[in-house]
Amino acid sequence: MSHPSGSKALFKKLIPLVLAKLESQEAARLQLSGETSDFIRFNHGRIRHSHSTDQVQIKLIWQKSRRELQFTFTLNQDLKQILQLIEDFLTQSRLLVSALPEQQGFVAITGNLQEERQTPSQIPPLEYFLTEFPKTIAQDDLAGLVTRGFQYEGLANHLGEFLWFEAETFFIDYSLYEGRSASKGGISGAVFSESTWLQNLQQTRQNLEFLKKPRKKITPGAYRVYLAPAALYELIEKLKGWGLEYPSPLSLKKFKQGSSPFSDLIKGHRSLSEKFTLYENSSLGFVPSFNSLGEKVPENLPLIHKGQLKNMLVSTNSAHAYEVNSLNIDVAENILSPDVAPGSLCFNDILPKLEQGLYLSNLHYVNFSDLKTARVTGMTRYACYWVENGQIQSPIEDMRFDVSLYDVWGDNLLELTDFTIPFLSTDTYSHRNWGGARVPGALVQNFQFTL
Amino acid sequence: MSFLPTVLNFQLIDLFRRDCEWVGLREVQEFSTSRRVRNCKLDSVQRHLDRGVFVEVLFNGHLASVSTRDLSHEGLTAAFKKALQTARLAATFKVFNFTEKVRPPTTGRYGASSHFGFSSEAEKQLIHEMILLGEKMRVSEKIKNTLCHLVSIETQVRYLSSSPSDWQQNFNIVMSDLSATAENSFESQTRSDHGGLARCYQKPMVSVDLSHFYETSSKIGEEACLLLEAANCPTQKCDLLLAPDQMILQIHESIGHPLEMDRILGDERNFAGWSFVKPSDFGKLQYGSPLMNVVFDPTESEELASYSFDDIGNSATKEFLIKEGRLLKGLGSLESQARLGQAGVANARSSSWTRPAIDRMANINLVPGTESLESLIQRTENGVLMRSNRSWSIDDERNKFQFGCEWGEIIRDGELKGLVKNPNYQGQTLSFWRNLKGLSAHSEIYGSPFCGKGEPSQLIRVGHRSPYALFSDIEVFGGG
Repeated sequence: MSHPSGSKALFKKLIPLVLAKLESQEAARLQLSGETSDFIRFNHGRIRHSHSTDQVQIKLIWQKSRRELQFTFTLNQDLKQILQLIEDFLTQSRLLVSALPEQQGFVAITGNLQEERQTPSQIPPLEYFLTEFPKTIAQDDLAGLVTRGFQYEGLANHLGEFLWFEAETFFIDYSLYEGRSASKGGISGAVFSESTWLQNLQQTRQNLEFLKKPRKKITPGAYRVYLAPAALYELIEKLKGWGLEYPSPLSLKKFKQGSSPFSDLIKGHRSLSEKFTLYENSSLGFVPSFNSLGEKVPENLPLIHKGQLKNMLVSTNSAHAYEVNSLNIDVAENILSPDVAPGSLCFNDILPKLEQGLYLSNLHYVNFSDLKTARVTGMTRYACYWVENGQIQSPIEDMRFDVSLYDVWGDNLLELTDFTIPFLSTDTYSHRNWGGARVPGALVQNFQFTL
Repeated sequence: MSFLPTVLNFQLIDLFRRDCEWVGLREVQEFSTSRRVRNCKLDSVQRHLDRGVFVEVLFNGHLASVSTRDLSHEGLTAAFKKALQTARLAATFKVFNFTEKVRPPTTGRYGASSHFGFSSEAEKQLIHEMILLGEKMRVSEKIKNTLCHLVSIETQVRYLSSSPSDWQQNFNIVMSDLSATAENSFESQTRSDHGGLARCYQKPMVSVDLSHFYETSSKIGEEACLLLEAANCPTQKCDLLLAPDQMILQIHESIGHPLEMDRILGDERNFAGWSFVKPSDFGKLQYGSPLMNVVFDPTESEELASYSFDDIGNSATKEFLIKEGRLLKGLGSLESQARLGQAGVANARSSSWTRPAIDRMANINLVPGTESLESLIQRTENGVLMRSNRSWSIDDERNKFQFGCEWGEIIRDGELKGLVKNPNYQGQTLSFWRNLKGLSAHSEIYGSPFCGKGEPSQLIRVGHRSPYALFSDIEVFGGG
């Protein structure tokens, strides 16, 4: 499997060959996105499947007469064939472009930044995860995924810009089972330590012990709940957006298209709790410092400050389309690394202050159920407990909830913990995603369970 | 342009086979074009050519794989060696001892190889028509946003293995999406062409005539405006009549996913989830009312997930999953069938050359009934008709669900009595399907390119055919 340096060298070889094909009045940018990843999938503490991938795609953005066409192709060693494909694309595009209508939010290619960055890492080779790691879980009914390897992004344009970012990371995303009960665990980062892993595994085993008790059936209604950081993260994820088609609810584009569930917050008709502050923090999750236009992304952008909207996510495309200032957010206008400010609730006070209610470790399959009121529905999952007199009493049967995020992060938000937990993205749809998050736990009242 | 000549040959297979129990090579080439017009202005034209090889090895009863973009002899050999070494090391801790039987010998062809690409003239015409569709959706000043999205895909999968297998499948796919969002000072409402990208079919791009969508476009715009004026769906327990474009979601989430045998085996427990279905339920469990017949059908010519072989070369045939309400069979590939000791179907599928094949849905269809839509409405005393999915959530065992639609209509005393907005309903899978009390003879086909599952994760294309379906005693409610 190739190291990122091989792809970088090939990319650098390809760039002048592609740019040489441009005619006058034409501009181009090349965006590379690649990974060499190893995936080991476990079930019942044994290896279900082991798979590795070496994938690199390059997107050629070609512009002429304020029109843009894009061509994405797989990078391989056969540059002659790639150049022929590009030649064909350019020939067809030149015929098409003159007939294309005005393009919404057109952004001419600019920029000549130079930056090459790689993050330090210390991760054992694949062999360790195939031979030694399985011994640590031999007695566990474990299901999950171990992922390791490089992700990298490159960008170049006809003005001489060259940007490169690579990171070697790993994550172990898993759950342990006893019958139908499950406890969730995981570690991630750029440095793997076996002792940290064993500690995490031991903690998850301990959590599972308690889940062996009979489960309490909860009747639908409003409850006081503690959302552990992983549970609150499931709600925060609804602010992130997904790909080009589904921008963040705090995206200018989404708001202008009339489909933001936070329209009332954006218009100033509603606010959230003073306790709720949210940043887009690109320093959290091994995220490139540049976006797909080659612009420097903001490092720590306040989005919601003490319950009030501070900034929307504005890409340069939206800035052009709606005549506002760009915040150099990427064109998809998603949040990559949400960072929720901590509060004052200390760990030891969580159960006493919850007093009676539900301790929710994780949530599942959260989706908007009503846009006007930012209602979301979802399920409890994994280690969730009934608490009485400030003591955990028993695990619960999973429940469906339907709540307004205006309430959860508004009047019903009692306290946020004084600690936060970092998360590295474990999304692997098509490719490993960049990004992470940092989220505290939250004490919330009147959390509505429906089924 | 046409697909590039394959890099696979039996010399490679013979060479690799010397070191392992079995080897397979799957080469995927996919060319797609996405055109998006928003608010009658061109948003983007994106072309995509993806190509790579998935190398899979069986060694000491363990299957390991490597995906490579390096298609040279050296690249394929390096990928094979890595897969072999991985299988060799991982076999000590394998979850099951697979044999060559899970990779059967297969020969054949599906679909026609095409010369893909675009004529500039045809593209100009398409974009012009898409702008026109946007204009037709803009029926009022209240229309804040319109979207017209058209995607064409041509895929070629070439497969050689030491079984021996030698097959090729070609897929021509067209997906389209139309939507309009209307807004007043209070709220916005969106209406689409049967839900996001629900119109996706296997058919060649040359067969697409966007002028057929003129009427639909105007209707979408008008209905988005009407929703602004509608009352919220009432909260009540009543009959629920679901249109085919919502039924596809209901089938997908509460039949398709729980019947996936890798979920039943626990492979998905840490991600997509488990299933309430147990191995002992096959042949016994009364899943729904006797009206309920569900098939795995890879033979419907235009449906999105039709094929002759799954991605491990198992020949695909139409199979009943549920007959007269009784659960017969799960969605399990040869690997899951071997592990579970149960019959299954040919459903080992992968999203591309970058991912291994796992148990997936393909075309999962609810067999139509005998009634007319009018008859289903006439025999409803108190109910709601819901169309076009817009919200979905179900638990990790596929039991407790809540789904929402774009469009609702009150049914009272056998007649449609007016529009309601933000219609939602909730239920539990078995009791819901056991309350099925009517199916129309008319059925419709839709699909989705977004079925998500797996570690590492994959989005896969699925198709669903469904009639209108009437259920009793369902909790419905509105927004706010």
